Amino acid sequence: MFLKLKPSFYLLFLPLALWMLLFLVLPYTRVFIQSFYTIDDFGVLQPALSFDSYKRFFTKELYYFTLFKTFGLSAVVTAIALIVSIPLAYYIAFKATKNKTLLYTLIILPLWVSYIVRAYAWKIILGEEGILNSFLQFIGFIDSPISALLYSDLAVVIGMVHIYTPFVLMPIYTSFEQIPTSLVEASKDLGANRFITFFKVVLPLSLPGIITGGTFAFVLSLGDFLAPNLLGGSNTLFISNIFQNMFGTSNDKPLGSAIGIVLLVVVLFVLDMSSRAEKRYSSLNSDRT
Amino acid sequence: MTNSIELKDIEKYFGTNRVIPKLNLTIHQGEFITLLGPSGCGKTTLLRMIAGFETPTSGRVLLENEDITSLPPYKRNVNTVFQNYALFPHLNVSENIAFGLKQKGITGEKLTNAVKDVLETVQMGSFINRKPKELSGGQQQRIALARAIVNQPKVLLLDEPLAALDLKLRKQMQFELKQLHQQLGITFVFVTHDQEEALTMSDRIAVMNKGVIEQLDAPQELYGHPKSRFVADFIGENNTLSGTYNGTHFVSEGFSIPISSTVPKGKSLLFIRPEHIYIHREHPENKHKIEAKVIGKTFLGNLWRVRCKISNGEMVDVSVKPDEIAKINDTDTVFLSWNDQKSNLIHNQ
Amino acid sequence: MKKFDALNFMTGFLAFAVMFFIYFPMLIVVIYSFNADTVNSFPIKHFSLKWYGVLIQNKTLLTSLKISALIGIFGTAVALVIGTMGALAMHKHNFKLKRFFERIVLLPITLPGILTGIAMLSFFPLLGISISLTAVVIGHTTFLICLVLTQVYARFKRLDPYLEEAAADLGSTPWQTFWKVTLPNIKTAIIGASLLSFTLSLDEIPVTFFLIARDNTLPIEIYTMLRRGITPEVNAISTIIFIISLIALILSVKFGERETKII
Ligand SMILES: Nc1ncnc2c1ncn2[C@@H]1O[C@H](COP(=O)(O)OP(=O)(O)O)[C@@H](O)[C@H]1O
Ligand SMILES: [Mg+2]
Repeated sequence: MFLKLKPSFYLLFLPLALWMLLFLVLPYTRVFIQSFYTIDDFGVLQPALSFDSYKRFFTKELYYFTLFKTFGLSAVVTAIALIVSIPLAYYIAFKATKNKTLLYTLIILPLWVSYIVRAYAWKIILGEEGILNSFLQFIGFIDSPISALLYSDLAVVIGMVHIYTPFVLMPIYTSFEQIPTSLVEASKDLGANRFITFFKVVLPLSLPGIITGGTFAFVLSLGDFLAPNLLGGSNTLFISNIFQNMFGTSNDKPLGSAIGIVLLVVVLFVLDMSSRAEKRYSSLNSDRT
Repeated sequence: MTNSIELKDIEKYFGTNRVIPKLNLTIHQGEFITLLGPSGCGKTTLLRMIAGFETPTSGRVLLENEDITSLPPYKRNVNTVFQNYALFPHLNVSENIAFGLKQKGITGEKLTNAVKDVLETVQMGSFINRKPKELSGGQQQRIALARAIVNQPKVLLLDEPLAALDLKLRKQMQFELKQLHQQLGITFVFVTHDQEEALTMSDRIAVMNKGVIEQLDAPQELYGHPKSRFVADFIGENNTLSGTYNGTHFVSEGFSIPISSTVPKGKSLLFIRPEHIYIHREHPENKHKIEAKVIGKTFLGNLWRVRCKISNGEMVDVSVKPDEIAKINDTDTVFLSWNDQKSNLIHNQ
Repeated sequence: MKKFDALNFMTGFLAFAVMFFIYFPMLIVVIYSFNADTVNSFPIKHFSLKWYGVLIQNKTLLTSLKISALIGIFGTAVALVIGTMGALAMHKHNFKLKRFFERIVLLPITLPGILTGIAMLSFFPLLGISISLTAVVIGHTTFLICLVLTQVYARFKRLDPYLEEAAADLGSTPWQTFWKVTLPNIKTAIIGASLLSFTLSLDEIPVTFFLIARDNTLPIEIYTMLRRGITPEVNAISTIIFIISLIALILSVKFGERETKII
């Protein structure tokens, strides 16, 4: 199939293909193979074809429970990010007239600002001696600081919503923008009020953008191990944290690899579902191919 | 007459889709030839094989008797005016025009003069420093034309160059293109799906249908003597009557018309254009005629079009002058006649 | 005069609230970088530039900044070459697996960084690449290539396909066509992709985390500082990062706009 192509193609394509094979495909393959290995008493890898790691993962409560919890919290983050994004995107797309470019720039700016800085900000806000506690004390709302703010599921969810909302905003805004004004006007012309117009015309037409945004938030949350580390402390474990641990302190690479493969399969599944859904619900002609 | 382009047994497949079955075409030196046909019939594909953007699956392309079938486009002394103009957006007007000449190593005063001259030719002298996006559609068109002709190609290929222009500008450009052709003496291969455009501009027209050239003739000949139903219908307005030819008469249900033709006996079609049909309220004495019933009439501005149903059930449209229309009413019975020379009989396989 | 409209007001209010939520934390960090105190609490008693002074003295942090910049520049440069070449190959040629490949190259950007990081960690030693800055550069370059590829390829798709044909028609060889017509028309996409690549590389943690040995990149260094406990220096460095990001964004918006105008 490749054979018919001109030499110039190989010249251009070969570095890319080689690079991806060597530094991406093979590493992932290695993880896949490693997930069937075993370890001896000293924690040294032993080549084998054992399903032991997968068995352990799906039988030990901590592991599969954490996987479900990760799903749950990621879903919560996704839901909140969507709820939060839609009104803002709507406002910028349809209501803002003067400073549209500025506003749009403002919503994508956070994407360019360091992840670590954004996570860190919540640490100083929510900390026991942090800004929120000292502010509440200052206005006399509480007497002693609330210690449960930081290092909790709540802190992780807030932080993640904050970090991933811009990823959701962008595609939703874009899909709002692509809706021809004439469709909105036609809806009103046919007697629909703004509510009905929004729910029956605007929202269905922007479904692909909403799906893309939601997928971003969900997948990014699923794989995040830093926000739980920084904002959840030891109280909030995400599946990635256990995954990371297996390659660190727990030193159980086969189990870690098995977790990695499970995570990979889940993420690929979500991505595939989402791209199918997107195709299915895209009713506007766009140059997306 | 020497040959400019010869297409010999050209076949073109896209995958398994045969877009052009065996096709032969000879284009004469200096002529204005038009490829005319409905959208999707393969005009662009044919043009692109002459330009070198597509290679024929089989067959040969000759340019002035030299085989150029496998020559890449940049080695062919042929230039194209693209349908969307394809002006380089990052270059201004003069840089766009100079592009081809620079490629040939022309520089300095010779280059500047050539650019200036061609801009005068297309009447765009004052736009030398504009970027393409700062020009209107018609202006971009002229620059695209200038960019091609400045290279003095042996053949100029034009793929629906006027399609994006509004009617008035299109008429204007048709006229100017024709003039330019006479002035330059280059072979023009022009593609259009607009039959009127083809008729007014071309020396010869190749009417294409599904990758096949159905007829290649001068405009008058094509209009007056279409050789297939497709050509008759595609060019101008046409009525087709179906029947049989018995050697002396064209016979159909309820009428028989004497006609002398070399067409073999058997099933045949008779083409006759609306403007060649006379409509009579009474049976005319000395002519062959067909009885018909008036179905409806449509106002066309300078003319009326009267639709009639004839005895074999087929519809016939007739052009009627405004001062005669008052006499003709719906459901009237009328009689149609025409001059033998104006009708065309063909064998219907 | 416009009538007061409750629905419009609600939308506006919600929009404002969300905007506030997005910007409030960053604003806090910027403000507290001028706090003279060691503890980040409310209200701020004294303002000073003290922590910026401390920052300049922090050799490790400055070294990490230099390392990050070098990785970013090197990774972006390699990614530009390989990514653009790949985009060109995909643009010029049709092959059966093209659609599939188009989706594959998105994976390094969409897959969780931790997965990629650990995959590389598990495999690189088998290639003889030890856990080091070299490994980090390769790791970054891998997803930067995909980034450049997708960005430039997207631009190719929007490029008028007849431009390159027009160049050939006017006598340009494929090579000349690339330099004289193709490149000038994808220039903005390349600049945009470089800026984005560099910024992403500068910000990358998950992959770096697993491939780094002793010399930390800037975000890893900050992460380490945070693990040790909050130091107000982080406010100062965060503020600086914020400003740099702002400048990078403004540049990219400027180029981005130019790009849309061309079409
Ligand atoms: N690059 C291509 N790949 C596949 N099919 C093509 C390609 N170019 C043209 N075709 C097909 O060939 C036929 C003729 O196309 P074209 O020459 O563009 O027609 P025209 O210019 O007369 O409208 C059409 O059916 C079209 O779909
Ligand atoms: Mg065409």
